[in-house]
Amino acid sequence: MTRYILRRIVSSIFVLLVIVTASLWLTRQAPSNPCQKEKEANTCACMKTFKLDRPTFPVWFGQAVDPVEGCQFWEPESSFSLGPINMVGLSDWGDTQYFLYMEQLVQGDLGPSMRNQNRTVNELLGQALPYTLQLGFQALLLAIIIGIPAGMFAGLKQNTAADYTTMTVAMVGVAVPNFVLGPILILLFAKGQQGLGWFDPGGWDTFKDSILPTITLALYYAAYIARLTRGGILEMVRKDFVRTARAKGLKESTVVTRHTLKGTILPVVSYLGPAFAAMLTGSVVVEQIFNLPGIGTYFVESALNRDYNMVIGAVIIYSSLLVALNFVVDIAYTMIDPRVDYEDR
Amino acid sequence: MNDRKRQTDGKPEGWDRADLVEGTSLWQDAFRRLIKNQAAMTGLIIVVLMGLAAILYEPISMYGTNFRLDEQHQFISAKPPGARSVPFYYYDLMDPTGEAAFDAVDEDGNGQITSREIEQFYREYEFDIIDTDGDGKLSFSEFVAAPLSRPSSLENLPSCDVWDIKKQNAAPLERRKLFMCDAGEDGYMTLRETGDVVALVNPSEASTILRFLDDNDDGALTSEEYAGLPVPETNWLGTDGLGRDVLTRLIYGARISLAVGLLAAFVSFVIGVSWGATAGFLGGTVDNIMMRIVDTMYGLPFMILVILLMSVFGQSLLLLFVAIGAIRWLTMARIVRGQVISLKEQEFVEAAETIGVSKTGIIFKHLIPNALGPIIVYTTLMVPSVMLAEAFLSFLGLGIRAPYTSWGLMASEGRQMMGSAPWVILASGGALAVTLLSLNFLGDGLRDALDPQTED
Repeated sequence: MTRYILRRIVSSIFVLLVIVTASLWLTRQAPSNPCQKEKEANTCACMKTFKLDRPTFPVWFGQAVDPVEGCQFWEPESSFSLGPINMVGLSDWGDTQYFLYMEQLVQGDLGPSMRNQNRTVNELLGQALPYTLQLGFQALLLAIIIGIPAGMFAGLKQNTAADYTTMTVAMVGVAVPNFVLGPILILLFAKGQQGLGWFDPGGWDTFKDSILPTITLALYYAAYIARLTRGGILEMVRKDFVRTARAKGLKESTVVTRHTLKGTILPVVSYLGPAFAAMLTGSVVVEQIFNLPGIGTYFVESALNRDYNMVIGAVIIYSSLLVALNFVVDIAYTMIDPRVDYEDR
Repeated sequence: MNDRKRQTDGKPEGWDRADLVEGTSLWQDAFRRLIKNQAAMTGLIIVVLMGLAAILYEPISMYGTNFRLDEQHQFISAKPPGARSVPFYYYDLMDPTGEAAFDAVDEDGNGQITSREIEQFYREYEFDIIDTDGDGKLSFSEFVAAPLSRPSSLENLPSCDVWDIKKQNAAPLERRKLFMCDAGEDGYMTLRETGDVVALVNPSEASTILRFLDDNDDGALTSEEYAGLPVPETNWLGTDGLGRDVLTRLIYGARISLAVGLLAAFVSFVIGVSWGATAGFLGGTVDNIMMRIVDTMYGLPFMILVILLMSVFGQSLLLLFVAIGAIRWLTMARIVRGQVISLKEQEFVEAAETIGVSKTGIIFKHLIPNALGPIIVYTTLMVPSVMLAEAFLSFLGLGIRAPYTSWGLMASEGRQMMGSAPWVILASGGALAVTLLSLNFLGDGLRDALDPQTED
């Protein structure tokens, strides 16, 4: 087990490294850069402040940085070029954007925001993270609270009207995308629309403001979990040990909770990892719809704004959450299902 | 054994070829089960109809809805379902002898039709339609029933003086008090008093129509040039804020959404099947490394990276296909590998090897047909998830761009004018939901049909 955990930690770090490298490369490929909207005279200074006047990686093809007229950019002390491939000398590697960023990152610093004057990414995303986390966990919780009982109910009453109704609702829940559901909920329940006017249409000051976004985000997963649970129940109730439990006269409720539930929960638990990943992505849209100050709002805005540090910061936060949650889910899986042997995996 | 003996012995008494029961293959069996599944068949029919509409966008747009994807018809606000607009491009001309005769349209009788007279003509045309009892004046109930009048959400209705100023840039509101402000003392509106509720075309649209009909470009129609005016057509699902016909755009959106769904699913299919099959066939270390890569990639927040990718490279349809397709192949690779590995060890493969079937023969006659079931099922279920991904990106403004449209983009536009024109998001969201539902039912049906064990 310890070996497994260690191995998972190493591979998680590797995944994060790949993601940081990929997103650093991707952002630098964009047709414009964060300094371009500054006034002509400032471009040079801006690029120097954010160290955009140097190659991103030690090795690159063609031109490292678009030159700015009348501006003296950073020059490596030694460099090679092999045809189209250029390379900074080993002693200067630490001065490329990639290594400078990594150096910062190791210290837990995500750098300054390139669009919001005098704010750091840590500060901005630190304010936004609680909203995204709360939204994500509330939605996950809601999905579980609705999904598992609904699925069990439908599965235990298989082929009755109750089963069909529940599963039809679940099917619709799977088919209506959250960016359609959100506006419809606003239309029906938010103030200023023709509907009931119970909630504020956007912003997040009190818990009440989080209700509509949570429902919007959770419904799909509640429906999916209900379907998974029903499938699990149908499989389990046919098992011999369940029949034995019934035969020896256990109460129906005991049979369900002690014998069928564990086996039923397994597929749901392994779905929680991907579900949370998808919820994080989904929260990008939900935050936009409900005007919430979460990470997703910053993420999309800064991706279009070319605020490099903010984008990579947001990607790192999303990825870390995802990696951490997958880890927790896998550990939880061993606890529920002792058959899983991690030494082989 | 007996049967075979009898056959070799020659035709026995009472034996007929028709008595032989023909064996059913897995596929025939599956097909029969699928046909019986009503939900799956309904899904299939809906998807096929959507696909047909998507393919036939051009003729449908020309002869069916009569509007083009990017054709704008300005009105004070978006027109609700059932309202009428005058098409610019795909119009039928009215009969130039009756109601729309040259002299009738040319009101001042100077032998020329100006855009002002065209506007006036359409006002009369619309008035005649909404004046359902044909008494030449509009009652309040007729006003309420007119497609361009709106239920008012105003809490405090303005006084008539304020309303006089305010109504210049508001759609006609169906409140009796406001109606009475404009109506005459008898409680009816005449054509002159009806205002914007009969405004089929505004002055600039009238000149556009004139320009299309005006052969010599002198800004007026003479009786020689005149062949009738375009017939107003119904916007069955209303228009959006720019006056573009929602139904037409929905049909065009079906084309983009389905095309992205199919192509991106195809991309995942190709990558996933080759990756999984290679890993499964080769086995050993190669398999180990290849599947470790898949495991690691499962941990990546792919959609986040795609959002980043699209915001960096945006506006490329090809990139959209590839980016969405490239994130969905992981599960496919796992499924295919699992299938290949389990099939490789099966007795029938061994038997085929024993009787000397070639390796290609085994792959194509035994492995592929048997592995195909789960692959088909997964591909069918992948299409809706890919369509959803496209809609998601378009909704964020990172996918399809104007002048093209997709359901996701329409939902995004619809969201912004949800209060004044809820039909835009309802139509696009509805189309998306119905298609996703149909594809999901079809996928589930296929799974049940191909894997009888799951049958309850």
